Amino acid sequence: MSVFAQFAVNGIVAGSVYALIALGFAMIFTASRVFHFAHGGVYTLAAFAGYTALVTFKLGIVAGFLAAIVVAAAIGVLINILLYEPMKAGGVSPLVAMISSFGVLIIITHVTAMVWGSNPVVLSRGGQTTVYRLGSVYTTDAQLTIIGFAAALAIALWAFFRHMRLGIAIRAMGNDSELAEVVGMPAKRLRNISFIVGSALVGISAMLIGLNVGIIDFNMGNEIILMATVAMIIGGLGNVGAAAGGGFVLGMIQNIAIWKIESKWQMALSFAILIVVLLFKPSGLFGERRPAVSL
Amino acid sequence: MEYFIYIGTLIALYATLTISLNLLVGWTGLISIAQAGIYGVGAYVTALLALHVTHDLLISFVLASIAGVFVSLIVALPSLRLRNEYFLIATMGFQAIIFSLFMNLEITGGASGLYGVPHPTLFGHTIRTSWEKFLLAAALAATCYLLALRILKAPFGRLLRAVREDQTAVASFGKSVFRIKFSIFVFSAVFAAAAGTIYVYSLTALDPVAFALDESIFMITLVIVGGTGSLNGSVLAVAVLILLPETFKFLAIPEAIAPQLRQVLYGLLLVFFTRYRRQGLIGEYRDVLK
Repeated sequence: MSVFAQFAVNGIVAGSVYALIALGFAMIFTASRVFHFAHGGVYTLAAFAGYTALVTFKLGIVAGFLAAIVVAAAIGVLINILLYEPMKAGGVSPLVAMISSFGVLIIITHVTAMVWGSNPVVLSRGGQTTVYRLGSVYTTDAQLTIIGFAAALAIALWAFFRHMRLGIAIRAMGNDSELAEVVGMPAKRLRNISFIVGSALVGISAMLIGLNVGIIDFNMGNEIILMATVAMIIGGLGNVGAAAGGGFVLGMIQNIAIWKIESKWQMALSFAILIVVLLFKPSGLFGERRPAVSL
Repeated sequence: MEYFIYIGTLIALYATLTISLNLLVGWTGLISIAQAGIYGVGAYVTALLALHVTHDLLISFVLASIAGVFVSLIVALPSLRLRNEYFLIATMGFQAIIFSLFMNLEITGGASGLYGVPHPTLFGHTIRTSWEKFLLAAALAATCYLLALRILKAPFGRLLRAVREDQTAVASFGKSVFRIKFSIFVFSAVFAAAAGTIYVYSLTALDPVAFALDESIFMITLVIVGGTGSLNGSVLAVAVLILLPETFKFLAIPEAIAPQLRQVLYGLLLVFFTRYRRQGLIGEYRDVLK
């Protein structure tokens, strides 16, 4: 039983990590209907910006987070302004924007490798974390911070999209951009806000996860953006809270599966779940019954 | 000389892959990113056969193709029920699963891949030199090109374009959209798997990295840069995108950053063409990517 409890805690930690990334990813999807894979690149770049402030220039932890947030928000909104908005204005479908997004992800990933090198770098020295023991279950303060942040952000964003005018406006615009503009919503500005906030979130996540793992490398965004995609789809498209829920479920399944299946199969298992959900429950586990996007 | 033969083989290999993928993307409107996975299945089947059973070229081609068809059934049957982004994501899921199998199964040699594959034999003659192997790759590319041309000129080719333009209209004429998409998916898989055979025999080894998600995205880049719906465009894009990074060798770009720079270049081309020139270098149909 204690083994199970430890797996469950690990699952919650992993799930919180996926939820953190999926939140920003889902916020951007809600607003623009683009699968913004370059989000993974923004995540990587934010981690290295934080690394530069924290380790290279030794400016302290606050400056590290600030650098990550500012760089992420700036790059995120620039990608929208320079790429997605003109494509949307030209009548290009989100599918093509999605393919373009792969290109941006490749560019950011490899530019990062050229600037900071292709070897992993150490973001936080070991021995700084405190280990807590609850019965037979172990966890660290870095992990608890991640869980706390993920839960708080999920609730805050859910409330934002449900109950605040701005959040409701962004959802409405995601559903029908033209209609939103007809009734006088500043659609472009709303999308830009979503990119800024969604990217700032991934900046925070990059630092939290980087500090927890200890090392960062130029490839770190690629796998995590795939997992965020899985999380968002199994949770339910077009709904930020559902995406976070999907992240938690994914993390739990991956870690509890370690009981029976070797960890090397986690990736394959996650995508198998994705395909099953796409086929049999395209609205996701927590999504509205009518899918936000028709398949 | 050896260097040019190597580049030529590479171009022929990617031309086969790109043309077969373009049939899906350009003519039928199916953006699949499982092509590298299916290519890998052909390669692994060939390598394992050659290491353990036979290195007869024809048998390798036939069995690799059968394996390609088999895997394409598994990928296509569920994925083809989805549209647009969701089709792409489902194929991406299969790509990740297939790659994970390559990396983690015992028999596939894990991350180090397979090596020491014997040279192939054709009617008792052992194909040993790189020149002969280049001819082999070129022959496959030419076969793929001509068959694709034949299909596209046939009534079935018009059906493919009709599916791309308006599925509902095709269905209303009593044609099975699913069967049309399925047929072309399987056709494409046969050539991808056959390209896998050529890959293994050219290198007499196999590296799983060649069949990762990045490779699938690279193939999509080739299709888009060349022009969706243009066979000549695909060949041109392959030549340009493979030759271009080779010039780095002559520009005194440090070895350490050359591979990164190549990826950045490919990423930039993908963004540029999806943003500014969606018909590609010589694509005729402006509206394929809309």
